[in-house]
Amino acid sequence: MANTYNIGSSTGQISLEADIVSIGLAASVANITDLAGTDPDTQVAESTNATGNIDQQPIGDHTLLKGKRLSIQTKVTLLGDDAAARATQAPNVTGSYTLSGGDDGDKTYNNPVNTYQDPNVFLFFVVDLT
Amino acid sequence: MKKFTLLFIAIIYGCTAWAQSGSASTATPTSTAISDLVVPVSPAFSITDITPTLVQNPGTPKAFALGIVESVSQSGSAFPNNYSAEFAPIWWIDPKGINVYSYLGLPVPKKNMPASTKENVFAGIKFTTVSIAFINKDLIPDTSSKTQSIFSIGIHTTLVKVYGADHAKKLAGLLDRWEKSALGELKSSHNDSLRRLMTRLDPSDTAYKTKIAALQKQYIEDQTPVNLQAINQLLAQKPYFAWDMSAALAEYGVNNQSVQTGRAGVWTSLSSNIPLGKDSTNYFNMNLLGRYLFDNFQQNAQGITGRANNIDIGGNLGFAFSKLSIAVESLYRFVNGQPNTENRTVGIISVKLTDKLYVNGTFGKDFAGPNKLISVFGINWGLGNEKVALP
Repeated sequence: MANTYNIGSSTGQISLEADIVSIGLAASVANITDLAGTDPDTQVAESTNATGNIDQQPIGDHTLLKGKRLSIQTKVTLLGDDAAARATQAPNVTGSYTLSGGDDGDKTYNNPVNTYQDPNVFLFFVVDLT
Repeated sequence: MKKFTLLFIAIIYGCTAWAQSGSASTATPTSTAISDLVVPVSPAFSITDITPTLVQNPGTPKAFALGIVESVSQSGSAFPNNYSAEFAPIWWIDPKGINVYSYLGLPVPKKNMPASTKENVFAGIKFTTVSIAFINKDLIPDTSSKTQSIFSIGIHTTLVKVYGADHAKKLAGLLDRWEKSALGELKSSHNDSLRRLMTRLDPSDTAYKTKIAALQKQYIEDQTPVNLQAINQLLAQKPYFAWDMSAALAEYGVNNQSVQTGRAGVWTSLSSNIPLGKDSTNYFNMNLLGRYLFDNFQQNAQGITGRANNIDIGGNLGFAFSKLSIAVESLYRFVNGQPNTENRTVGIISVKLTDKLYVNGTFGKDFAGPNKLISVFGINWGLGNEKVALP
């Protein structure tokens, strides 16, 4: 089931915040994709330190975002020499993503896809902006 | 050839030492060594003398409850059957506050600001772990072999860990370097093309996660593995000072009617590691360890089972090099309030002959009676390539 966020009639800025939960090193990039068109994707935000978090920030208004898909990809690298400990940590790596400024108000999503390739965990999250 | 000759000489010498010790004391002492006082990471398991092969790591209270319910359903009784779990409550209480900086005791850098390198020496407290075990085991040394339903719970924490400002500065710099490399990787043309493909997948497709995983496998790393290696090497360095503590309690269901406290214990250790030179991984170590153990069902030398309170206090100091460690350790035991009833003071030498072959020697005075000398020699085939380390 696809995630959706209703921008609706709102003409203001839509904001994004991403919280990555992990004790590993993390970096995140957020992009906007026009699934129906051929325009190149637009990067709208990225993390600024190894938490992988994206601080709450405006990512554009309805003219840029409506009808597009927002994707957030995070690379998390788990620390230490103990492969078993890393394998235990991997499923606990997760993220929560909050959008605000649209008709849906503040809406938080907690369902990124978690892919583990030791020592890395990749989180991938998408939401359709309507 | 030289190594085999050395090994042969060591074995002959060791056998001689073993033989010399035979009449004066036990050749393989079963009494407490200082390594037994090391603060256990999972005290609930240590206090019940178990080493579970399967330990659950529930990330949420719900997962923990489900694990217990599943174990109860498998046991056929109201008591879980050999269930063990270990978790850090912080993951349940405030997962949003968890990140690599809080874990390593560094402040989170602010955007466009130089990284602060002020070390939080109490960072370990936040990651205190709880271990829990439900087991059916006979821990009462009597003629009956009937098992007890035992519940044990323990906590482990690092109260203080000090690496120093230089270590914190280097670590913060490496984290920053990794983060910039990772962003560059994510935005590289190859990896970005994978992301574009993933974005265009249908999330309602039942094979969505499989398809994401297949694309993600094609991800190409650049400099992050090199950065990670440097970070792991820095993290492998020992802290200047650390204070660890564990505590545990085991309750025995002796029969269907009564529950009694079987064992309780507290462990603590203060350790100091002074590097022998800048960035050296050779150390002068000093450790002070203490353990209190209460056992409601301990069998004494006369074979009588009763209550016992044991306090062990020990310490060691020595040098740890990459292929050699030399230390002196001393251990004092107080049984039921009687001071200095047993003690042990020994010298220990450990030599690494190859990556997988160690020779260990212990010489000195052991427990149980005056002038009990021990002279023990051993060879250890390891599976890794660790340094020779003190307990």
